[in-house]
Amino acid sequence: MSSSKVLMPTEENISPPAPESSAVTSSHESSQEETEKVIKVNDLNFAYDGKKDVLRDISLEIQGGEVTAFIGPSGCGKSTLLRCFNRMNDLIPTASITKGSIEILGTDIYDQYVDEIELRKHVGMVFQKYNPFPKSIYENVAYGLRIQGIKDKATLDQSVEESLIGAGLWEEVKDRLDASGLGLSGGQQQRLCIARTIAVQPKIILMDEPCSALDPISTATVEDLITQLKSKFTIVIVTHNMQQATRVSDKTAFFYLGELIEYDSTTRLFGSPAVKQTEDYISGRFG
Amino acid sequence: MNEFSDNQILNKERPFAPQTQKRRQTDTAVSWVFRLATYGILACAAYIFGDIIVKGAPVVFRAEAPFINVEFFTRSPETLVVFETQDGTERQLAFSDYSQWKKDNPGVEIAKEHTHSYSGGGILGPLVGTALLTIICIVIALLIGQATAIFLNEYSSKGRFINVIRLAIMNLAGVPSVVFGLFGLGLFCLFFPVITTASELRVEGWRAIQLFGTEKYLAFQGWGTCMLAGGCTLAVMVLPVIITACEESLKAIPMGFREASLALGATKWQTIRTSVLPYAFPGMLTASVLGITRVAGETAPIMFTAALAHKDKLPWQGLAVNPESGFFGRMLSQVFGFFTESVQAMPYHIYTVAARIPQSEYTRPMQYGSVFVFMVLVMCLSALSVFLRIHYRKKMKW
Amino acid sequence: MNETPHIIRDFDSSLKGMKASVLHMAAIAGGNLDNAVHGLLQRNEDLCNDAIAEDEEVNAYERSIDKEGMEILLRFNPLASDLRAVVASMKVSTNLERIADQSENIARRARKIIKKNEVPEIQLIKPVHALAASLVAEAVRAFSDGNSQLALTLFDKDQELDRLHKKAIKDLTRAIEKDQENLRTYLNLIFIVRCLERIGDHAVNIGEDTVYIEEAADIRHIGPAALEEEE
Repeated sequence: MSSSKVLMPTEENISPPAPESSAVTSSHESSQEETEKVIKVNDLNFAYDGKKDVLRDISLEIQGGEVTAFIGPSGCGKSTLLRCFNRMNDLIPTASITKGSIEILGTDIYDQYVDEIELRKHVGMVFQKYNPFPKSIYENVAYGLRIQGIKDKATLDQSVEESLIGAGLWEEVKDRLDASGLGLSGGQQQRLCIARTIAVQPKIILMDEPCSALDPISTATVEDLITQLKSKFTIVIVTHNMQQATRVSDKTAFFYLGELIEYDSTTRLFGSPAVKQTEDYISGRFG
Repeated sequence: MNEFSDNQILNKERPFAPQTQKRRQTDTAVSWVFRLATYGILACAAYIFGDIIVKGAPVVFRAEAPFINVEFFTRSPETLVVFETQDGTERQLAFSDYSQWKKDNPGVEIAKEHTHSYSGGGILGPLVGTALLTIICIVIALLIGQATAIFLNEYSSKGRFINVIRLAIMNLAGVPSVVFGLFGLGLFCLFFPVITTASELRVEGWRAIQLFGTEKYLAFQGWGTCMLAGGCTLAVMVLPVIITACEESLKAIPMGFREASLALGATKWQTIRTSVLPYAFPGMLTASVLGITRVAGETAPIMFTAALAHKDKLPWQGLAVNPESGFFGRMLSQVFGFFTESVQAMPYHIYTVAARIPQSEYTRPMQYGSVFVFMVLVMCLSALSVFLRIHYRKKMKW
Repeated sequence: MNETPHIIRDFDSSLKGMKASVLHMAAIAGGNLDNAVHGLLQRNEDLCNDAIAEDEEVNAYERSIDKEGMEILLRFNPLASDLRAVVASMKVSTNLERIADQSENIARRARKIIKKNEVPEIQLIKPVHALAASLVAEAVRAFSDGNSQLALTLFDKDQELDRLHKKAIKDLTRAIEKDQENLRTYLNLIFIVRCLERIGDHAVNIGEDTVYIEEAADIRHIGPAALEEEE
């Protein structure tokens, strides 16, 4: 899979095996650059009712292996855009993109040949309210694999263990995998949800305000996890907490009234934003 | 010095003392109005239950072992014969016992003999009938109701069509039960298709369709008065309650479960099957049971469609079997035969003994006994559903 | 600076209070410098003593401004221009404290000079002080008004000050060679010129901090050219 190569560049795809010619090399390099942009939004408009656009002229490129934060006041469209990435907006029948396109791993995801079920296996999502199923910890993590029809106990066991380790939860729960997921603390439940998501081995993880229901200590554990995960996954996180955005993200995009106002490295956006609207928002000046 | 000015002085010294007595009095009066209304309801309930228990319990319970009037539960209603033997002792016997007794004691002169219909024997027939009707009703209503609720809550999008459906469901809840009874009669008893032979064909024209290559007909002549028709009628009647209850149960499942499941790459049906229904089902069931206990007590819908006031046989007794047909044919005709049997039912039985026979002191035990048993039964079902709900509420917290 | 008020009004008043403290501190530090040099030129020991005593107040201001800054960082988690303003204000106060320290230094040496014979080379101090004092005043004005254009002019002025400083040192060194008798006075004068040159550097630092607040550009050790490059 070309996409996994992008996240972890290997010898092989740096030096092309094809016979050398400067034209080939340059085209290869440019295509690699292209796929490094894991998510590419091209001049996107989106409407919930097919008429009034709640996202307007959004263009941005999200780099693989980075944490990108979406910030902005409520109703600015940041969550809507996030939900476009795994087509969760399809749940609303009248909602659709009205202009432009979204490319994920080089494919237009609103193309008629794209099955949103398949897409969601590659683009996982973690929600605002931690929502483990009222099942055991084990079954929560194994859920995604089970619905794909995997029944082999050994495969499931291995995947559950790896995912829980990946979510930094293994040491805390390894002795009670059969206990209900709802018995865990808030932060543990959210990390269980993250474990459940990474069990399906997505390339991208979308997080919709993952810490807004958590206390500060749990928030810290989840934030720590996010920074750990970015070596393996591309993460897009929507957050209302600007301190959180500064702590975990590499790039930050500021949205206001359905438009992308500014998109820059996190330190630049929070240290010296180029646009006054951004400055006013992040320094608490919105009237 | 009058009291008022005294108060004024006092109130200046005490900042939080009542300024006037009037507001306080109004408060007390209003609270008593509400209290009396509540006590009034309590009194009504206590009177009804007390009367039924005092007069009904002696019929059902016995002072010595086995402490229960077994006969009351193992026999179907019969005519009660009250007579006096020549030595002046009065005896009460159900009609079949009376015939037997006369055979056993041929020499005994009988002085006064009078009969009271439906007042002898027990209530086995109506109990069995009600149980069967309720089970049929639960199965049909849950199947259709849950399917409808799942469609409305999970699949349908908001729109005028769905609003019309919801309005229809709501209106269905407001239809009087006797109308349901007549509707059931017209639809299930007189119109629904059956497969039958030419000899039993009662309709003609387009309503009788000869099945290709056989002697059988698909006839739109209805199932007749039978428990399937009654159960279906009850099911239609309880559907609005069940649909609403099921929808509420589905709505109580957090949106997060569905989103999480979909986000993990599950299809819609996988999501509903694995992360909605298992958690909604207990709620659906308990709420449905509660709704069904209400219709189990209905008389009008079954009066025209399923129930007979008098029937000697229990529904599974004496099913006609065609010996020529094969094993499956026999099975099928037995099952269909069973479901197309008419039954007795508790509500109708109570209606009969309470309103359609001449009243006398001899009819009282059957009346109160039936009502008592039926009431306890319905209360048990309600209690069960309440218990289940509390149980699952405790278990399912998210 | 961003003129839109914050939603939290206390945030605005805290920021304003901090800036007011810095400006107060700047006024005292500037006064100290003038007192010290005037004390020398007018051979007035009282003015010198004032400059020495007032340094304590400047030190107290530095502490309280740091405290205010910490409190704003802690309570309001400032970002963007607010964050830059708080951090830079704390640095400005440090530079002002250094200016006051140098003024104290000047005052102490002035007291020693006053006690000895008067030498004509004392007049060499005058232009150096005038330029240093105007550097400080302009740096403070640039900070106060958020005027980064004015702040950028400080670099050229500082180079002028350096030239004056070098010339004064040269003249004084020559005077030592001629007049061994007043060696101590000349040495003290050399130190005073050096102090004035240092004060000029601190004023430039304040200018740089002002540019950082307004333009979010760090031009330290690079000069104004860096700003143009970024733009």
